[in-house]
Formats: sequence, structure tokens, C-alpha cells
Amino acid sequence: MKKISYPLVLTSILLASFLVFMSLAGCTKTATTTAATTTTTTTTTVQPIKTYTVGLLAELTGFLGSYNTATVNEAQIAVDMVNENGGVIVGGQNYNLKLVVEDGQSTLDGTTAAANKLIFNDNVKIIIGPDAYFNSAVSGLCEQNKILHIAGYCTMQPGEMDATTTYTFLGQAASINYFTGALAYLKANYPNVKTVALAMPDDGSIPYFGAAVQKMVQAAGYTVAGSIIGYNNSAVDFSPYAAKIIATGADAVICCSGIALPNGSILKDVRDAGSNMLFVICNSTIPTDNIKVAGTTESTNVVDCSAAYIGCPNPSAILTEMIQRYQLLVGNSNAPLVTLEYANPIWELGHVLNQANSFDPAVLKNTFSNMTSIQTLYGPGTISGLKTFGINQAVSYQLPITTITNGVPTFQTWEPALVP
Amino acid sequence: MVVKGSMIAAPNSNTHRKNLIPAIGYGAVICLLACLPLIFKSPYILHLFILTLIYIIAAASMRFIMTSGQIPLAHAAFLGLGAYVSAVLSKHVGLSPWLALIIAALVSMCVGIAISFPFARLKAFYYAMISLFFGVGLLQGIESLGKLTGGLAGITSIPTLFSTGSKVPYYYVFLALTIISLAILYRFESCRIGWNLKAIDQSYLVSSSVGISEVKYRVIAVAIGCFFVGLAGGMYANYNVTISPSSFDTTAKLWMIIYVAIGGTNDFAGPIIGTAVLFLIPQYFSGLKQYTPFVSAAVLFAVIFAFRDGLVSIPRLIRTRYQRKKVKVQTDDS
Amino acid sequence: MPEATILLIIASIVNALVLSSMYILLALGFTFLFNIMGILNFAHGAIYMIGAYICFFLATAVGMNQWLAMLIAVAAVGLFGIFMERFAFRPFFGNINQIIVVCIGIITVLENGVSVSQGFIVQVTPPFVQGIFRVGIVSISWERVVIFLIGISLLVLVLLFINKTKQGLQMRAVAQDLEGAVLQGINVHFVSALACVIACALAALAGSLMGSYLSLTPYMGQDIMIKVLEILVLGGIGSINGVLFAGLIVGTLDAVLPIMVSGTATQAIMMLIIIIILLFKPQGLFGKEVRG
Repeated sequence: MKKISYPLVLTSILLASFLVFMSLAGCTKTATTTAATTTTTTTTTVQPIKTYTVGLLAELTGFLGSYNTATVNEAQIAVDMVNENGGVIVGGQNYNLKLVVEDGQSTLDGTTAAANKLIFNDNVKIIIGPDAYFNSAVSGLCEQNKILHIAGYCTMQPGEMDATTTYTFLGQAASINYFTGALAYLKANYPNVKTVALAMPDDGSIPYFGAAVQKMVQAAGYTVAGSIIGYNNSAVDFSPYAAKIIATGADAVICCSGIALPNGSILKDVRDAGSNMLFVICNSTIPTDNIKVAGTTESTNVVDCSAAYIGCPNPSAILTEMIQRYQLLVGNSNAPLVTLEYANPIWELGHVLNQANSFDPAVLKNTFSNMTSIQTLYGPGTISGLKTFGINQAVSYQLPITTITNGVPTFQTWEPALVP
Repeated sequence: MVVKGSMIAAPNSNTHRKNLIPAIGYGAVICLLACLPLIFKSPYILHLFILTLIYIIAAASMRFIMTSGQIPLAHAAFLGLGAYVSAVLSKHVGLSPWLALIIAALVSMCVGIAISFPFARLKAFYYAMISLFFGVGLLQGIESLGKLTGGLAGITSIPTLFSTGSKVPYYYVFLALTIISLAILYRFESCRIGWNLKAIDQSYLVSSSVGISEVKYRVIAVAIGCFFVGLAGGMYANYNVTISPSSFDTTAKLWMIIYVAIGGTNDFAGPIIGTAVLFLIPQYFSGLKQYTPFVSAAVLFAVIFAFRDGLVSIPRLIRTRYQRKKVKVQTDDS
Repeated sequence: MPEATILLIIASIVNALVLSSMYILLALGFTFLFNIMGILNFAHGAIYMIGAYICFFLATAVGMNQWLAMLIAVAAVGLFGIFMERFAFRPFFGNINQIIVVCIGIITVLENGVSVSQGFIVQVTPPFVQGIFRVGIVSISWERVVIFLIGISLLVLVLLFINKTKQGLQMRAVAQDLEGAVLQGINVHFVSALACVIACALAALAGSLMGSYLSLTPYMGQDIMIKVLEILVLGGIGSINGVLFAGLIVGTLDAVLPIMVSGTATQAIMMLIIIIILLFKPQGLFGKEVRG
């Protein structure tokens, strides 16, 4: 017996009209809200100032959500600073930069969708971002559609940045640079260290990033004890991994998670298990965060190569201004900078645009890769990376080395940290 | 053995008219959906529709399994399995994406049969938990095969079904696939298999006493359900070009059951309307950036507290209230 | 045997014990509620997270002693349990689909609310105890010893409560036969609310402790939910006794597997082992027969 499913008919009609209504409404709406509410001041020049829109791909929801919301705030400050310095001058016309932000939802397909939206819906020709390992979703798309792509992070997975992604640049010294800095410092100051254990998040990057790091460590003259120890970034307890690290019997262990929780937890568990082996942290997490997670008594005999943080001596003038503005924005005079992984590329973009005197991505990419030096928010930077990435499009600048003893971080030196 | 003819009413003069109305209804809807790409040229809108179609297939197949009384919480993991199989086959092995699609569906079906067969006798909750664990384990297993599947970072540059950059052919092909899949699922549900599943759901003791093998029909249900969700997964991989484990994780599994539950588990149209509402509404509000999940939660609460049986019960509620009013008026008159 | 291997074995045993008690502590509220009342509280992880954040807030912003902050957090979240029982569980009792939906709604609101308001700043509750306890070549931090002791003693307390007190007896009666219990004059609503209060309080207590041992993230609840579900299903429905053995199994696996294989494969293998166990004993180790 065949019954008429009234619900089925009615809801199909409802669904169709619903879809029509949604798309009608969605068509006219473009996502142009920025995270921060700051007023952009425009400098008065003789000609009227136009605005040029740049796309920013951030992970505003998901596990990177709260982190990226803060970095987007910093990015907006960088845009304001660029505009207040006269904006960019292209073809004799003054332009102020404007950001359109799309959310990558901390997933690969969310980032792909956001990239599609930026390119096809918002019609941008320059994309800043994304974070972590999501570049593989964006670089190929930018290459296909000739969009300039300045990334904020790179984990060296296939498709992120290599010889084929000619439109992709790495604007922030992210991930591999910290190893360069730390190894140089180790070589100079810890001659007793001969064997090194490597601990990294087991998120699929070990065959690529881990292999590159292993080569780098061996090239610096150290022996890698055992194989790379891969840990689950979201494990509840890290003590089994700490036990495994201690069992390798190495003189030092290098730990490089991008978030403070695994770094601090493994440090804590290694110390609690009674081992005082040298602990090296190589990533953008600031030393005070690692100390917070690990506890003061456990944070000892630690070398930390991180991004520049508040408290480093002689920061560049522009970094000081950035810090002040950020603390003013969040209303907290002690707020730490997150990392400038979207702000730094924007600052560099300003310089590239002025030098290239064009908005054409093809011209921009040639100018960028041929620049011998570039001004970053952290100070002067160089463009390199041919040996590491296969293409000469990564920005390197000096990184601070901090040692931690009994929970007290002490700044040691600025390492050049040039990526070969 | 029940002869089909005896359960169906003999055709009479009304049959054609009764069959005509829903047919016109569906035809109109299909025509409208087919015309959408002509009205809305924006690729982003088409992208949303295509994703909705994929999730509709997944949700409908999930509901089909749920008619037997078991809740397959692992369904999003099967979506992921189909996606990864299709991606690996078309990218690393070099098969044609169309062939990879079919094989992905078949692999998903086989894995579904393998996991449901030993546990087919369990009550809803136990099967749900085992299904959830299997789903989590499957996804972690896929993630740990780093070299093949790219681990957490996923696979990129998957060969696409069409070499043009436009989304329009995808939309039409997926619309056709969705309609065919829904038609097949509906046919299964309204024929003997579907009735047997509902009988098992109501009372397994009585149905086994009548000769309906609980294990056999539940496994059939899972096989059919997993076939279609594997197909949907393959479609997703070959359309989206990138896949990663995070789109199939525990959150995705739970949201899939929400799509079905909010839509309504009692009617076939339930998952369709549930998916559309809960997937598209947050997209409309995506301008709120980090506050968007609150919109989803608000919709969820509104529906679950107002309409227990899901959105699909709204027409019935309206009709019963109208009928009650009619009866009330009649009794007042008399 | 080389010293490194001996150390590794001892460390693994210690880790297994501590992890087991930690998981038991996490799972206690959840299994209690499901075994006794039949309510599947999917939002357990979110409540655990809220307890952790309340304790952190009281201990840092208000400056209280951590133990006092923990007690207040436990009390506050326990009261929230009454609210949850009345609005989330009672209307949908028996329908697993709808309970899952409501719980996910609660989780979404809580997690995103905390994520949006708290942000990314690394936050850790001040430690409850400090120092490392050394005996020979064994070295454990006092924090882990405290977690172990609290976990075990709470388990014993819950068992005593269920078996010896009047309210516990009433709860078991309700679990056994709802109508019979009502006929006996047991106030089912009161018993239900009490069970939810205890479950939420246990979750908050676990959260407060973990807030200092691990650290605080808005999504910390999600990470533990799978472990908690594993313990529930392995231990068996209808019996709290199973929690001890299930916790031991899951804790030992979690302490030993990462040493043999790398991180992500650990989870996959553990799931495989659990499913194989369930293949032979689908009702869990101590559960009642389940067919249907």
C-alpha cells in the first residue's frame, strides 16, 4: 500500500523555497567584518585615498579559534600602522589597505572553502594566512588562480610551499627557523651534549618536517637517539612519552609543539620522573607559557628558542609600537603578544607593494623573491629557503634564545636563525 | 512469504489522482532545484548546496539504519572512509575518479557489514557505543597511516570528477545522484525490507518468532546505509580536492545524528529537512565569525523543546490542531 | 637488564596506576549517573570543563585557597545539576536521540562561551600540592599521588553511598523498577535530582584537580569523553564495580601502548582491543545481559 507522505511533499516544497530564500539573502551578504573595532585614520594627501582589499584567512572557530581571534586583532593593528604611515603608493595613487577576513574553522576543508570564498566571492588578489598546516589547502589554489599568498606558518607538508608554489611566501619565521636558532646556540654553549632525542606531535608531519629536522640536527654534528618520538597532541597525560624520552638515554631532548600544553606537560613529566636532561623547546610558544604549564620547580635546565616576546631587550621600534597598541586595544597593559603571524606578513606586504609599484600578483611575486632584505615587525629580515623548501621565498629574522632555571626565564641572546 | 500484491490496495479510479499530486510536487521541486544554478551564479552558494546534497545522502542513509532500532554513531567515520578510499585510489593509484567513487562505496559497505555482523543483536545503546568506538578507531587508524593519508593534515590535490573549474556540472551530477540515492532508499524503506526493519525495531522477539531474522535484516540495513554514505564520502573527496580527519571527527559524528534527530526520525523527509536547516542556517550567519556556533545551538534548543519529534512533525501538528478545531466547531454546532 | 629498561618498566607501572585512577576519577560521575539513573549525560565533559574554569577563576582572580575554590566549584556545579535534570533530562528521559541532541546543545554553548570569553591565554590553576616524592629510583610528583588517592577514595565513597545509605538504596530501587519504586513511595524526582547533583559534583571535582595537573582549555572536556565512554562500556552497564577494572584496563593500555607505537596509532590499537573485548562480552565485564 502506497501512502501519500504529506510530510515528504510539504517539506520538499518547504526545503526548496527555503533554499531559494537562503541563497537570495546570502547572495547580497558579503562577510567583511573584521575582528577588532578600531578607527582607521587616513593621512591627508592631495589626491583622494582609495582602499585596496586584502584577504585574510584565519581559523576563527575550532581548536585554533581563540588563538587566531587575537592574532587577527594584531593584524588589524598592522593594517592601521601601514595606513597611518601613508598607506601604499602604487602608480602614483595613494591606497589604504583593508582586510576581509574569512574563517577556516581549523579544518582543512574549512580552509579550502574560505580560500574559495576569498578568491571567488570576495575577489581578492592577495591572501594572508592561514595558520598551522593548512597551507596545503591554499597554496595550490593560489598558484592556479595567480593569487599572491603570504603564509603565517609552514609545517613543510606536501603542497604547502615548494618549488611549484611560486606564488606562496612564508612571511613569518615559523617552525624550522626555531631549530636553526636553537641548534646554533646549543653548539656554542653546551659542548657536552652529544646525543639528542626528538619529540614531535604525531600529526602526519613527521615524515616531512621530522625528516627535515633530523637532517638538520645530524648536520649540526649531533646523533639522534632512537627514532623520532611522536606524541598525540591532545593526549590526556604525557607521562608515557616522558618515560620513552628518558629511556633513550640522550643528553638532550628537543620538543617542538606549537601550543604550550604538550611542551610544558612533557617537561613537567620528564622532571617529575627524576631526569634532569637538557630540555630544548623550539617553537613560537613564549617561555612564560611553558613555565606556567610545567610548574616552577620543573622548569629548569631549559633552552627555549621562541618568537620575540615582551621582555626581550632592544626590540625594534616598530615592535614596541605594535606592543603598545595591542595592549591598548585589549585594555590590559600586561597582555602578551600572541605571535604576529598575520601582522608580520601584512607589514612586509606594505613594503613589497611600495617597491613593486603594482598590484599584479605576478609582478609582486617577482619583486618579493628578488628582494635581498625586507623590513619585518621584528627587525630586518632576509629572504632565503632554497635548500630547505626548494624555493627562495621564506623570510628569516633574528630569534631570541631564553634559558629557564627554577621557573625564571632569562634572555640570553638574539640568534640570526637563517634558514638555508 | 508475503505476496506483495495482497498488501497493496487494488488500484481504483482514485489511484491516478492520488499518485499524481505527490508526483507533481516532487517534479516541481526537482525542476526548481535544477534551475538554481541558473539563478544563482555565485560559486560559493553552489558550493553550499553541493555540500548540503552530500550531507543529505549521508543523513538519509543514517536514518535508514536507524529504522532498525540501532544508532550508527560511526556514520561520519564511514563518510570519511569513503572519502579517503576514493582519494587514495584516484590520487595514488591513479584510477578514474568515477571508478574510485564506486569502489569507495563498496569498501564502505563491506566494512559496515564486517563491523555490524558481530554486534547486530545488541540493543540500541550498546550498538551506538560500539559504533562510536569503531568510528573513532577507524578515523585514528586512517590518521596513523601518515604516508598514505597525510595524517592530521589530510590529502590535497585529489583528482576531480570534472576538469573544468566550474561548480555547475558538480551540482547537477550530485543533484542527480542525491535524487537517485533518496529514491532507492525510499523504495527500500517502503518495500518488505523496510517493513521488516520497523518490525524488528518494535519488538525483536515477536519479529523473530514470525521468521524475520534480526541479524540478517540489520546487516542488510547497515550494508545499504554504508554503501550510500561511502558514495557520499567519495563525492565529497573528489569535489572538495582536500580532505582531512577533522571533518569526520567525533563532533561531526554527533552533528550528523543531530541533523537526523532535529529533522525527525519518524519520516523519510526528516534528515533532508534537518540537514538543510542545520547546515545552511549557520552558513547564513557566518558573518558572526566566532559566535556562529551559538546560532546552531539556539536552533537546536528551539526545535528540540518545541517540536519533540523533529521539524518533520510540523505539518502533522498543524493538521491535527486544525482537525481538532474542526471537530470542536462541529461538536459546538450539534 | 639495562637500567634504562628497568626504569621504563617501573615508570610504566606507576603511570598505569596513576592514569587508571585519573580515568576512574573522570568517569565516576558519568558512570554513576548512567548505571543508576539510566541517563546518558553526554555533556559530562563540558561540566568537567566548567568546574575547572570556576575553580581556576576563584583561585586566581579572587585569590582563594585552591582547595576552598575546589569545594565552591563543586557546590556550584552540583546545583547546576538540578537545573540540568529538570530541563535537559526529565523531558527526554528514555529517548537517547533527543538526550544526545540536548547535551550537544549544552556542550556547544558552554565550550564556545568559554572559548570566546577566555581566549587563548594559557591558564593553569595553582597546584594543589607541590614537590616530588622519591623512593630509591622511583620518582613521582605528589600531585599524581594525590590524584591517585582521591580517585580511589571517591570510588570507595560512591560504592558505600550506593550500597549502604538510604538514598543510595532508593536510587538502586528506581534503577531496578521505576513503577515499583513509585509504588513504594519513593520520590523519583528527588532521587533523580540528587543523582544528577552527585554526578555533576564529581565531574567538577575532577575538573578542578585536572585544571592544575594538566591545564585549562575550553575543549578539555572533549578529549576525555571518549575515555569516559570506554570505561562505561567496558565496565558494564548496571554496575559501578566494573569501573575499577575498566579503569585499570584503559589506564594500563594508555600507559603502555605509547611506548611501543607512536601517538596516533595508540588510539587506533586501543579501540581495536576494546572492540575485541566487547566482541566476547558485549555487556562489558560486569554488566547485565543485553539483547535486543
